[in-house]
Amino acid sequence: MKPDPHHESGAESADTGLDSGSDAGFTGDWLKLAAARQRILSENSSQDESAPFGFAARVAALATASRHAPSPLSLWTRWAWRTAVLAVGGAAMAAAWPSPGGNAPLLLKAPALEIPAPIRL
Amino acid sequence: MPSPETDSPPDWDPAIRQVSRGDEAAARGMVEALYPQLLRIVRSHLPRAADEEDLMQEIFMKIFSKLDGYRREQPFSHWVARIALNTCYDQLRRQRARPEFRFADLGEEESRFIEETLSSSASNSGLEGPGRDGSEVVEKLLASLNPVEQMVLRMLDMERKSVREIMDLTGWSPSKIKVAAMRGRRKLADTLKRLERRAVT
Repeated sequence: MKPDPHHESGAESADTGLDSGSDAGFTGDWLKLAAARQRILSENSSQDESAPFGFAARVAALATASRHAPSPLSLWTRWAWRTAVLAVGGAAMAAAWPSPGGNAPLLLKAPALEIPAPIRL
Repeated sequence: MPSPETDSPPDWDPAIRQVSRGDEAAARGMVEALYPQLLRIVRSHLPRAADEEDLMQEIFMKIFSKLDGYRREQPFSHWVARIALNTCYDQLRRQRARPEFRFADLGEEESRFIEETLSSSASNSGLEGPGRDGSEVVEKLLASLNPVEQMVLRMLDMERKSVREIMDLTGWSPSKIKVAAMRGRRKLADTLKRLERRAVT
């Protein structure tokens, strides 16, 4: 069977720098302490693990209420759309409105600007 | 409501769809079904947390707020476990003070726990009676490490998980996990050496 390069557990650590000299002794001591603590925690974990009375109802109500409330992003998106629609509407109305100085657009009536300096190629 | 405890992967899709539609009863059922699994994660990483219920509420609120983003690339129970682990990690980071292990604080029970555990063989726990209460010393030792080192050593050395399992649970890279394990164990080695020197003198 091909060994799993990622499978490394506890004292079998291949490249955690603890497989030599006094480190190996420490690893043994530490693993004994850790295992003893874990055993005690497991024995104590037989206590009731169900949710306290009212917890599920409270959290579900909070979660449902927060899902109905609009998020800042959705509020921003809503206002951005409204602003964009108003801007486009305003531009369309301005374009459709007849200009007071005749039919030609104002830009066409602006004097031409000439640069007197010669252009060297 | 499916239970994450069963051997075959439960089908959470109907419940997820109901909760996404705003069904409060389905959300309540989901909380009740997931609570034991998530409580075990919280208790294993923050065994001395006084605000366990607040932490559980924070985890469930995160789950519900991110539910629409669940892409079904991994089992739902793994996805919620990762959220719980990340919340525990955030909580450990918030507990900024990491007190250095002080030998003056070592009680009689804790000294006895260390002596009995280290003198016993691997198969014999040697922990009967009052020595058991001293096992809190392991929590004190772990509390002196930084959050990543604490979480990695708990999963690797206490829960005997593999690096791959830790990768799947946390999303951390193998190198990050191995480096954290190495650094954490070195710090604990220094602490235990000091403890032995003190016991000799």
